Amino acid sequence: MTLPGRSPAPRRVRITSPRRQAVRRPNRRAPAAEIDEQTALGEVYIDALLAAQLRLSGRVLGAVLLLVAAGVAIVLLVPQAHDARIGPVPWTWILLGGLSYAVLLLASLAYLRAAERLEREFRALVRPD
Amino acid sequence: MTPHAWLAVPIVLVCLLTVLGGMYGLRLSRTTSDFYVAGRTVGPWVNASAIGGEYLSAASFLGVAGLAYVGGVDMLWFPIGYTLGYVALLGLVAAPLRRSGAYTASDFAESRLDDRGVRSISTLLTVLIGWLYLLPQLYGAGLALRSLTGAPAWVGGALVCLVVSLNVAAGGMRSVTLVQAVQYWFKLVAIAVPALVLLGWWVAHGRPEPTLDLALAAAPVDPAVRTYTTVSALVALCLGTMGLPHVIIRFYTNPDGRAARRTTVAVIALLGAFYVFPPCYAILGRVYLPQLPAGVAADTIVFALPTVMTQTVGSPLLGNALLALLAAGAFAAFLSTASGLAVAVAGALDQDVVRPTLHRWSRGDSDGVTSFRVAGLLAMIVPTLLTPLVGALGLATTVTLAFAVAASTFCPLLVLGVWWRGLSVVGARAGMISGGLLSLGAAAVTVSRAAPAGWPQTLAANPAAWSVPIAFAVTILVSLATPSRVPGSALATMARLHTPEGLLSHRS
Repeated sequence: MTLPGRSPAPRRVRITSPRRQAVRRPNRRAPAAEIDEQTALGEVYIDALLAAQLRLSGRVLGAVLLLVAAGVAIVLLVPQAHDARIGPVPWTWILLGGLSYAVLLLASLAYLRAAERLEREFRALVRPD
Repeated sequence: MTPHAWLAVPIVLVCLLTVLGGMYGLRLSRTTSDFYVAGRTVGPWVNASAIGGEYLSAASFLGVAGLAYVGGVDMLWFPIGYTLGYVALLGLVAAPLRRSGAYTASDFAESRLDDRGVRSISTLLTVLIGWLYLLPQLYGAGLALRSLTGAPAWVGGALVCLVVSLNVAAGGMRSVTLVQAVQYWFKLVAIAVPALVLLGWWVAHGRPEPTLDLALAAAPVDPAVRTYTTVSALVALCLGTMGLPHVIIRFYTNPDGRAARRTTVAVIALLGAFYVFPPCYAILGRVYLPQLPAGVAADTIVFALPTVMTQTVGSPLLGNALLALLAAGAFAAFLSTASGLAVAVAGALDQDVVRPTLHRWSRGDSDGVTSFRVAGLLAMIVPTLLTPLVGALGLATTVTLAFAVAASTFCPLLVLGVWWRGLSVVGARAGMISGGLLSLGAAAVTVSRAAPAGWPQTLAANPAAWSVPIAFAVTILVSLATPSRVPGSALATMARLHTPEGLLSHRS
């Protein structure tokens, strides 16, 4: 009989022999444990995370560096760059004094999003539960 | 401008409010841990405001406008460099620095390399960089107070020394964190409102043309020298920020690495909002002050403008109101940067010098709070006595030298320590010592004006472009030559620096 609020008791299964044809579960440990115990496999996980984060930093900082280098070259070495003006204020002044900060903020936001995504992926990899 | 004694009122008011904030913090701080890092309970935006409040120093509030007024569009690279420093910090060290779980740069060095020698070098450098950075703050305070009220130059520095010592001894970092966060917003208002009012005034009065082209420097500079100094300053500012003691210590007040990154992005937004305004004063200066009035340093043109612009109408009320706001903002800048530096220098002195000494003298009977207060006093008094050395170097030049030392010493340690497992104890020591000797030597030559004019002087005043690459090269080459001195814990430490919190079991 079934009590109110309870599911019916599961049917009893009689075990007569091992299920030989079933695929064996691989004896896999969580990668987090490999890192904790500093095994060679753990080292591979850490090196992969490091390489991915370093590539990301290199891409973002490299792009910023290129922009800055181009800016320095134009502002310092091309006198005609200052000819375009709003009233008496050269465009280069507005570019350096105002717009450059928006560019830096956008670059850092892009880095933040990508770095957090890499960490989410790493978490999912080493702690699949 | 003629000095006015009444301008002491807004300045004293800012000083009093800072001291009161410190006393409020005294009620909150109970243990030494609170003193150091505010119990790590600060949210990202509050923390970012505090970093901004602490970072925007005399060089930003007064120096940038003075530089652009004299040097034209080239000088706008300075505030960009100050902001770029946080982009480099974000991409290279923000989250790992926080995850290292240490209080100071010395703690990071010791935990990463497992070596007391590296720790001692880091402590020494923290104190020296802090003092070098305090010099222009104290000098700027004297300069500002003299041009505003006519008081002798030493009074401003002594005032800042007194207020900061009281504040640090009273509340440590918790009070400084709250006070600093408010200081950012106050400084933003104090620089933005007068700038907008004066720009409006300029447009409303027929927008007279600048007497000197905004693209050009007041005195022509050799293009090779201009390019070199700009590049060297950008290297110093970009890589030095991560090594400034008062910036590093702020990262430990974030709850985790992710928050440290978010705080850094918020700092970049806050700095950008502030740095739009100082160049406005340079534009107006070129319109209304064809040449520097007698007795006015370029660093104080911000103070000269309100009076000069509004004197044509009979009532001086508007000009005086703006001047009072600027004076209060400038002192907020001196006090907040000096407080942050004092806490960082005091922390380093306390942990590695004062506390062990007191412990020995009192045979273990001293407490941590007393030794932190003693260290706080030491941190402020030494640079106050050295302030006259700064002389006519200018605020931004001296500050850039402090950045150059930080970039030549802590930047290789932090960047290679975070990203390169092959960093050896000997390599880190050699890199920091060589970078420190080169950049501090250049700073000493510059401050004492010992270099012959021309390229030697230019190279000594802007050392970062050569000293930073040398420091990196020494660190890497010596590390490669001494693989046996790579700490055995390197892999475990780097795993901790780079994995998100709560992922590995050996960390709570």
